Amino acid sequence: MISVALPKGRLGSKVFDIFARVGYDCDEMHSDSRQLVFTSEENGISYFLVKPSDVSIYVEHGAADIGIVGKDILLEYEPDVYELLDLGIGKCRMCVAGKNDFHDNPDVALRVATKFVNIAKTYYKSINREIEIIKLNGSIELAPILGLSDVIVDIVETGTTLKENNLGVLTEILPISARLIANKASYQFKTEEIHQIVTRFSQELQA
Amino acid sequence: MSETFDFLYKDEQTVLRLRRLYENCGFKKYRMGKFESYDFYAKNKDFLVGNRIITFSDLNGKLMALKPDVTLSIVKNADSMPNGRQKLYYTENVYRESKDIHEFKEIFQVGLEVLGDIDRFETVEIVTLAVKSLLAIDENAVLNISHMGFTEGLLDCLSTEESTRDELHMLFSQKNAHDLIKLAEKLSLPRNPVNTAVKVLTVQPSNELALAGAEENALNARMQEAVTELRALYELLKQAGLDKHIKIDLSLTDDPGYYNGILMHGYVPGVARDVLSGGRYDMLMSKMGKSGTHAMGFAIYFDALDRRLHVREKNTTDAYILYGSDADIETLTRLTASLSEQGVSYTAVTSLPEGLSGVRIYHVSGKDVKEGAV
Repeated sequence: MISVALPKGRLGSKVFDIFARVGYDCDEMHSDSRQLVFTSEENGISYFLVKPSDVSIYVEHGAADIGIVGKDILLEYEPDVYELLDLGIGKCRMCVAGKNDFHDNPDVALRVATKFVNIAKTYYKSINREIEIIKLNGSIELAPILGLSDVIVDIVETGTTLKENNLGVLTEILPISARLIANKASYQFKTEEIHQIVTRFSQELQA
Repeated sequence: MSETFDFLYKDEQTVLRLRRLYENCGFKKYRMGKFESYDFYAKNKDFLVGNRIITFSDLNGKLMALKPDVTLSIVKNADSMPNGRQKLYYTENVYRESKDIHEFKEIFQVGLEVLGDIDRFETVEIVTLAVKSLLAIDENAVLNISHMGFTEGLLDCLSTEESTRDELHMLFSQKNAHDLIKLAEKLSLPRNPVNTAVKVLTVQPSNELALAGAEENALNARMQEAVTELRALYELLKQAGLDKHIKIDLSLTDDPGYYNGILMHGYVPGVARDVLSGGRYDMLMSKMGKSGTHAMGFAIYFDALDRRLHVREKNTTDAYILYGSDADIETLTRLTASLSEQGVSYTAVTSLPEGLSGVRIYHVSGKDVKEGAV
């Protein structure tokens, strides 16, 4: 039996559809119940839905054998897991964004508002720019509008929210997509099962 | 004696089994003090897991540290080597920061180190002991084995840039072939070694195939030498019937400033992380001024095994003696002496705890003793 941590929301549903298509369907997942864990004995798999940022925690601590998680979460929290496949879905970009008329003053530390502290620090360290981090948990776009920060580091999907608020992408840090991860110990004892899932997913995604 | 052994927690039993295993092979117990000069660890911070150390000033004002590591201390103190080789094992607590809770943690470790002349026989003995140590914990344990020479040889073909090598190390440790391909495209890394790297990161259905693939894809002398050593080691482990507990995984890598040869990571079912790690670390020896001295060893982390092993099959209390203020003390002491003689463990209480089951109850009132059970 393989346990899978799926992210709640659109990405989770999309990924479950792929699981179902490649032979890991689960009737319980189609029902409208309030269950937390969904199991298909027949297909040897069980699923549970968790907050996207928690998927890697469940996998790293072995509560799930595998999981689907965005690259942003992997870079931010650096869990000790295997990253076995890039699903190429749930695509977006990690960007630096700011007011359209923003001009950087290199003489002062740049104030950066973000949920992704680690990613922002790593990026600015790589370009040798002194920064001041302002950690926020949501509505990041508000920060430069209200003068709380000079720029933000955040995920950009379509850029519509930025445009509507007179903001724009200043730099793209890296592309983001969903990844299939595995717990390192589970991988030792369920190698074949995990490898089969990875192979079937690769074939399905290439088709 | 067996009853006493049964009484122990499983982790205590495991430690005793491991001690016997190591002492039977000629290893001597190494005992270190709890404290060491902070300077020593500060100079060797790169070799520690985590950067934080618990420090304090001793009575002479000297800055001391609670030991964060055992291997460094063994290496430092190992200057005289009778018969060219020193074989030591330890059962020690170390004090490190925990990534999860962002606090210091006391971690119990059992490990062994061989310093001096390490030949093929000694290498096989250490790896065999690593497998047997894991089997003392769980019969389905698995030891992943790799060789730093193979990985570093492959990286030599890919890039000499330190930052690129660091990134490649990280991708290897994640078995992340997709991002490795993207990085190779971005940096225009040579195609042949990239293909080899992707093969290394792809799961191999058997050790035979993993080794055959490595032999076929050895691109330079360093890789060739490593795979030859790995093949010889594997054949000897196979002869010893240990191959089903071995997984050759050439994607396994570690700090090249510390390790240089065989690398090991051990897993047991039901524990979410590796419980054993180690390998050949001549690089550490030379960085600590002991060039030419070889070293190899491993450690088992009991903090990872706590939930699995800190249990015991025998109940701590077989019987409860319930007595009131009217109980005759002589009757009570006679009863406890008699139970002790019979090997029955007991707890004397003035009120019974809730939720008892499967224990005998002795109710003492005056000089009367009534026996019952719940």
